[in-house]
Parts: sequence; structure tokens; C-alpha cells
Amino acid sequence: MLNWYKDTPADVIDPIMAFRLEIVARSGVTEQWWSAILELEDLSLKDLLENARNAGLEGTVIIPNLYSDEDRDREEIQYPTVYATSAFLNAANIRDNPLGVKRLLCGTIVPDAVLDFGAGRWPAALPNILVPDGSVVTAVIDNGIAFAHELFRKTDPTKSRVAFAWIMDADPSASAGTVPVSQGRALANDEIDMLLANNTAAGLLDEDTFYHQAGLIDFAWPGVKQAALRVSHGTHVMGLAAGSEPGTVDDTNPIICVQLPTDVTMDVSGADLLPSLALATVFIKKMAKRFRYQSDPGKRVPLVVNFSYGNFAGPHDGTGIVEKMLDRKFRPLPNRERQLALPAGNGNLARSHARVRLEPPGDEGDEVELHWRLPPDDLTASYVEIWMPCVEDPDNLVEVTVEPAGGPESDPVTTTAGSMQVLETDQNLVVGRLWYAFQPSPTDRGLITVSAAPTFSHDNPADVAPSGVWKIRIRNLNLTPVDSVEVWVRRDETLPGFPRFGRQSYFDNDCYDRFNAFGAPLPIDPPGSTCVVRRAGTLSGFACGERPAVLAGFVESSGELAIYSAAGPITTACGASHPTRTGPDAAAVSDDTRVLHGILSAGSRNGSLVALNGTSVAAPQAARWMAGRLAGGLSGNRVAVNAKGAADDPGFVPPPKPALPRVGGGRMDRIVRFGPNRKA
Amino acid sequence: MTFPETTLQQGGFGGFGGFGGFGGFGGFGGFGGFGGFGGFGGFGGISPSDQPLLVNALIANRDGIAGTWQPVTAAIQENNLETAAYLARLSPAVRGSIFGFELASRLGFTFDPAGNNPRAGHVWHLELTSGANGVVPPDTDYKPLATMVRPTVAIFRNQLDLVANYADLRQDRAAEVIAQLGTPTEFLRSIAYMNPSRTPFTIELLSVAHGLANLVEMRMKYALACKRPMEFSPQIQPMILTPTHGSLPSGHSTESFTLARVLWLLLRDTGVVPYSDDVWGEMMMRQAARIAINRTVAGVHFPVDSVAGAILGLTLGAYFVGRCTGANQLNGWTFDGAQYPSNDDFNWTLLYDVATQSQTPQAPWATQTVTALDANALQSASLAWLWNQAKSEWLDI
Repeated sequence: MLNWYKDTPADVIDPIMAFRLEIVARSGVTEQWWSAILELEDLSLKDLLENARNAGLEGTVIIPNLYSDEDRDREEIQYPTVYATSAFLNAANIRDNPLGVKRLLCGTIVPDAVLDFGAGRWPAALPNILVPDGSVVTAVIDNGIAFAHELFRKTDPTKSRVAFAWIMDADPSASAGTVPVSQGRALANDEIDMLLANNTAAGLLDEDTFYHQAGLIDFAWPGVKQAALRVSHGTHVMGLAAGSEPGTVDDTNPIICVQLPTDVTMDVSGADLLPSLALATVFIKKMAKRFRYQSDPGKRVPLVVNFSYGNFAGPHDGTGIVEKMLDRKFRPLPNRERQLALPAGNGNLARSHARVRLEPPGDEGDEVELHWRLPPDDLTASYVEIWMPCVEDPDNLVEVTVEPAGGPESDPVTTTAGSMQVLETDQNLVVGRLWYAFQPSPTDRGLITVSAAPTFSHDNPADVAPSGVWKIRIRNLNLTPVDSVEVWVRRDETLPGFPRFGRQSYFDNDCYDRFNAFGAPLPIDPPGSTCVVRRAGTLSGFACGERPAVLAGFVESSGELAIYSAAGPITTACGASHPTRTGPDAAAVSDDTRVLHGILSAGSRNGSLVALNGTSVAAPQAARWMAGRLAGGLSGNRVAVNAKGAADDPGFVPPPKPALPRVGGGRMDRIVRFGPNRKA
Repeated sequence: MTFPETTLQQGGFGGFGGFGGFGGFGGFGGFGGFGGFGGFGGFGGISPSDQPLLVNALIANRDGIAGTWQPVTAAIQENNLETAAYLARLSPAVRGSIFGFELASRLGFTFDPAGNNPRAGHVWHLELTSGANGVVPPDTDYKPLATMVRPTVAIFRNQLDLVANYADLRQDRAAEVIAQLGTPTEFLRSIAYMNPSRTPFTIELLSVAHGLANLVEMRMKYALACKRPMEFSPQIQPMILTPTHGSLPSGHSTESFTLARVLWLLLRDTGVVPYSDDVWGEMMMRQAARIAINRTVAGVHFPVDSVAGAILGLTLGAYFVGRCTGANQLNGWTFDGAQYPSNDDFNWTLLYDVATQSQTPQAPWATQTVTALDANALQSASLAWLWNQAKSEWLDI
């Protein structure tokens, strides 16, 4: 038996984070540290620590060792990733908190065992690494990167092109200490070369021993070892971004790779890897800065970063903390070329987005009911974000009620500060929450979140949310029919190769037609459909920034966009005249044919090629192309990617060019092909 | 009638030489570990040649044509006594018994709970120091071949974390885990060109070596009586049936490493290029290790079981080749499980060096004892015959 009650919450910025911290605290997990991105404005990291001390929170936030003394003194808009306790995060989540944190995004629990807070702080300047003219650095942030694959080696098979490899979830105690990091273990090129030489016999690399010694695959260490599987996401993606047959590229394309932590399964609240991404970009930028041309050491070698990861949630207008962080980190500076490639996301058919337009109150159509289906056996929490349009007065725009599977319906929550409903069991355990919070500048819009506890728990079978259809009702109070309320389900699914943990919730409204008359999935919203649940607007939440090149995927043999390839449009930011993008910038091949899914690239072990699909494999091809452009002194930004798509697309006939919000500039010619032409 | 071409079962092979022989030992419960061998009826079944229709026809046929019995007066030449040439006339199943006897009759096993090391089992080679004469038995001496000391419960408990972590690979390795319930020969034949029609004697040689490994490992498992992972934790949930025999040493590890070493020594003995290249040995050892590790993935073995099995298998492989080709010394190995670093995973490269083709000691848990033997005392004439038959299958034409 469930019941709702009204609560008066603290005035928090991020209700989902508050719910996550509560869920984890209750689950009995005793891990102390979380990763988190902070947004600081005109506040230095040193001042942040001082503020924490003054607020009685000394020792609850740790600045990673990558940040030098100079970094810590800098006062500017910045997005540091820190390790923090729940006490700090809860305090920093309060609006106008004395810590000076403007916004924050909570990542994952970081197990104590992978942390090394004693790691030596990096100096502001690291020694230069000289490379030949025409060089370009490629960086890959991913999961399960078998970086000893031959595609990442030089002519001499005991020499690696990988300049730095950071394994965020490795055992730090095994580190040689040449690249000290606060989390996991980082290896420099000479260490990798030494391991290659030591473990090569009869011309074969003993990969078991190599990766064991490198800390990537140690079965005595907890966590999923994706690179131990035949197909690993990171290896495949890095092969596409920077892999070359040995002997073709030696020194002109050094690689920096970062493996994000994989040991996130204990986080029942739904782990978010974005703070780890942010930290990875700091590592990459600092290391990439060291690469200089032999002929002109004053000049920096260009950098292209690929991050093949997508999410569903966020404001989708480019103002989210991650979007802003990426735009800032990859802003163009004189003499410093840096570009980022991101996938459009695979959520086109995930039924993760609803676009709600409401008639005036009292008229027919002044209310919309979303059927949010929570799967059974979902071991992690689920969330829906209901984003308000930009309006002068954000108060009382709509009222929202939630009726969990089996009832009862909540009282309405309105877009008014402090409006909140809490769902509890008859044992007074909180299993759901409906909560309004205004999102500060630059987002400047209201957000109502629906949070639901896991639908299954081995430890506390009573402490769960009911699975089934939750009815979310949105009623108009003060919106006009042209205002859109945009709703997204947060991503919650288990990635391939990981133990089954989270299960994806989705909108299960009757009006959504999944298939055409022949039973094939419909890749675009049927013309004339008035259904609120839409394929349009499913673009990955953090791919909505201004600068990254965002890539859709298509089927090479047919020229059709892959059915999963997520679509724009996105929302226009408050105060802006137009959105930062209509959708992806271009499309790259992500499936060879309709039946031969995926494209071939490096498998985890030497000599193996494996197929993987998704927009994850489209982005690194663009990164490869961008790197080639930058190496040649040409532009390699998202505009160039868009133009490349537009120039190549006329070659694909039939079918006609897919719609702009799904394909951007157009379909790019095949950038790289490993192994046989499977569509031939 | 067409039989599938695998190294395991082939009609003409009539119950598979070597193992037919082992079938003769009567069920040999030990082979349960390699389910594939269950199919070998050995001496039990009805030969395809003796089907009732044919038998009845032959009875009627004799009545029809044999005529009246005539006493034999022609001269008959006797066969030579105790000669290896005779082996060529025998069915593989019969040869299997002879080879099995040759091997088993020279092995000894002791376990002395009250001795110096109450957790150790010892395998001995029985050397004949003087020949038998009439009814006088030969003088004999036992020489150390392998010693294994059971790891402590604390070591197994720590090893359990490794077993649990390896479970993540189960989906990836499922096909291999199931296929490797059969003989490792199926996986070695993907490296060296073995085929029942092309290399019947090599396959027979490997099956005899397999039998040796199985005999010894089962005796050792029985003595050490190590619990399986699922007896420590209900959460291991092995993906296959856990065999009834003890956990250490791993039978799969013992047998695969025995076979890998025997096969590479055979190929090298042929003197045929390119088999002397290290890459052949490297690949065979990798294969053996992969088979061993897959048992940990499946949840039925600790990594330390694979370590013990690899040491035992490498030792038996060299010993077996010595029995075939002769040697004047015996390389005995000791695995002291109680000294094994409890968190360490299995790493075959610590145990064998391909470049020098030799086992490497890892004090204090893997040590060697070299014992001098009389010249060629190790060699068995019948095993030497099999070795040479197998060898001839690899010579360039």
C-alpha cells in the first residue's frame, strides 16, 4: 500500500541528485566518495576548499591531483571534477549555497580502493614531447580499451603509439608512478613499451600477462573487465578513431586513451559517468598540450577527442552543465586546435521523449497523460525530467500529478518553488518523488522530476517502487498552445558486456505507432501523428552543445539511416534566437548492411576484427577524418564535418537524403574500412 | 557408413585406440571429467562386424562350403616373442591396454599423513635397476616424479574472489567451455595439422599420454580431496556440472599441458621446419592455458588448480616423451600449494619457457628435483614404437 504526502523540501538545484544520494544512503552502501562536476563562477578551487572549511565541511571534497597549483588559483567559470562526500554534495545542491557551487552533477560512487589521494600534484607545465610536422593527437575516452592491439602499435611491434593510457578503475598500488593520478592508474608510453617488450615471445604478445601487469585485466580486482571480452566497446571505437595497420603510422598520430570506471554496478541510484568524462578531458588536454612540432616547438599539435557515449536526459538546449563544460573546454584558441566528436545517441526508438503542447485550461486538450512503464526487476532507480519552456514568469505554468502502478494519484505539483510530493510505502520507505526545481542560469527554466526507486531489491523486497505503468498527468495552468513542455526519460539500461542491472523505462502511450503496415519498425514519427511520445528530439542530452561534431549512423548498403540513430531537433536556449543545432552534424556508416549489423574494427585481441554498431561507431570515424584534416592544416570542426556530409551525400542514390534533424549535412563516404568489404 | 571427421570418433578407429584400451580398465570413473570419453565403449560393445545377420550367415555359410574336417599337417612359423613389430597388427584398442600397462606398471603413489608433510601426495617412477631372471623378480627403485601439497583453506578462500570475477566472461566463453568438455586434442588439432585419416598414430599417442595424465591426476585429486568452488560459496553457481572429483590439480589443466608438451616435442623431434619455431610451442601452451582458464570461467576450478595442473601436466608430458624416446634423468617437480601466493592468478608463462623448452621453477611453490637414471632405463619399447609411428606422420614427403 502506497501513499503520497506533501513535503517541503530544501531548495535544491538538482532533485535527481538529492534522490540518488538518499537511495544510496538507504541501500547500505558504505562507499564514501562520489565523483561530481561542479560549476564554479569566479571562484577558485582554493576558495572552494576555504568555503567548505568555513561551512564545517573540511575534508568532504578532494580536488584531483591533475589540477596544478595554478589551476587551483584560477578564478573563472570552470567545471572541475572533484571527489566529494554526500554531505558536501547535499550542501552544494542547495540554491545559493555558501560553498559557492553554482550547479553540480553527481557521477558515480568511487570505491576507496581505486582512489589515491596521496598522488603527487601535477606541476603547471609538463615537459614537451616533440613529434614530426603534420602530427595530430587522437584521444579516446571509453570503456574496455585493449590498447595493446596491433592497430595501435608502430612498425616495431614492441613500440606503442599510445602515449598515455589512464585506467580509471585499475589498482593504483601497482602504478609505476610515472604518471601519478588520484584514481586508478596511468601509464606512459615508455611503460607500455616495456610491458610490450617483456611480454612478447615468438613474435606473439602474451596479452593475458600484458593486461594483467598494466592493470587493465586483473581478475583479482573487482569490476567488469570489458577488455577481457572478445568484443570491447573501447577497443573497437579506438580502432576506428586512430587504428592503423602496423607500419603505416609511427610517430605522427600519438594516442591518449582513458578508460572510464566500470565498477559502477553497486550504484543502485543510476551511475553517471559524465564527471569521469570531465576529468578525462582534463587529463587529455594537459597531456596533449605537451605535444609540439619538432620544427616549431612553440606550436601545439592539434587534438581530436572521441567520446562514444550518449544519454537521454538533460535540458537539450546546450545549457546543461556537461554541454557547457565541453563547449568551454574545446573552445577555439589561437594556435590551439581542439575538436570533439560525439555520437547522436541510439535512442531513436527508445520511447524516451515526449513533447507536450497544451490547450488553454478548461479547453479540450488542456491535459496530457504519459504512460511511463517501469520494467520489473530493475535494480536501479528510474527518472523522468519534465522541462518547462522559457517564459517570463516561471511560476504556475503547469501542474503535474503521478499515479504509480496500482495507485494512488498524487496531489498536483506546480512549477512553484518548494512544490513536492513524496511517495512512501506503508513502512514509511520513500520509493518515489515528484519535485519542482527551477534550473538556474544559463538554463533558466523550470524542471519537474519524477523519481522512482528500483523495482526490485534482493536486500529489501519491501523497499521498492511498483513496476508497471505510472501515469504522469500534465495539466495546463498558464501555457499557450505554442509553448512546449519537453519530457525525457533518463537512460538506465545495462550496456552490453555488463552484468544485467538497470532496465530501461519508457513511455508506453497507445498513440505511439511502433511499426509500419509490414511490421517493420518505423524510424520516423508517422506524418500527421499527434502522439506526444516522439522519435524527434531523442538526440543524446549532452550532444546538444555548440561545438562538438555530433554523428548519426547509417546503413552503408541501403543508405538508410540506422533505425536507432537518434534525432533532433533540440530546444532553443532561453534568450537565444535559434537552437545550437537541428540535430547531428552528419552521418557516418554504423552498419554495413541491414542484416550485417555493425562495422568491423579491432577486437580485444590482436589479429581479431569484430563488428559493433550504434552511433558509437559513427563518431570515431568522423574523429579520424577530423584528425586528418587538422594534420593537413585544414579546418576539422563540426562545420567542416557538416560540409563533408553535404558534399558526399549526393553519392547516395537512392534513397533520398534523410531529413535534416536526423542526418545533418548528410551521409559521409566511408572513412575507414578494416577487413573485407562485407557489403560487396 | 560415414562418420563425422573429428579426432574424437571415427568408425575405422574402432573405439579410438588408446582410449579403447582405457575403456578396458572398466569405466575408469576418472574419465567422467572428460565427458566425451563416455562414448567409448572399449571392450564392451558389439563390433559392427559381428552383427547377428552376419553371424548367422557365416554359420550357414560354413555348413555350406567347409566340407569334412581335415587335420593340419603343414609347417607353421611361430611369431617372434615380445616384439614391437607385433603392435602394428593389433587394434588400437588392444594397443591401448598394452600402452596403459607400460605406463601404469612403472608408477607409484604414496601419501603419508604422518610424514614430513602431512598434506603431500607423491608420484614415483619405478625404475628397474636389474633385470628379472626366471622366477627372480627385478630389483627396483622409486624415483620422484611429482609431489603436490594441498593449499590451505585460506588460500582457496582468497582464490574464490578470482573465480567470482571470472564469471563475467561466461557468455563470451560458453561455446569453448562446452566444447572443451571433450578432449584437448580437438583444440590442438586447430594448431597442428591432425586428422584421424592423416595422423592416426599421433592422435593415438596423444590419447595414451592423455590416459597417463588422467591416471596420475585422478590419484592426486583423490589424495588431496580439495573442495570445489561451489562448496565454498552458493554464489559461484557454475555454468556446467561440477565433476565429483577434487578441485586440485585441475584435470583439464593437467591433460592439456601434458598434450601440448608431448605434441610440441613430437613435432620438434621430426626435425621438420617450421615446427622448431617457438611460435608453435607458444601457441600450444596458450591453448592449454586457455582450456585451463575456461574451467575457472565456468566456475568449477580455482586458478591455483590450473597452476598445479600445469606443473603436473608439463612434468608428465616430458616424462611421457622420456618413456617413448629414452632419457638418462628424471625431472621431478613439486608444487607446494601451501606456499602459493593466495591472490595470484594463473599465469603459465611463469611455469614454462618456450624459448628454452623448459619448465621454470618458482620458489618456494614450484621446484624441481633431478634424478639420474640408468641409460635408457626410462624407455619402453612399445611406446617407442608408437612414438616413431606418430613421428613418421609429420615427415615431409
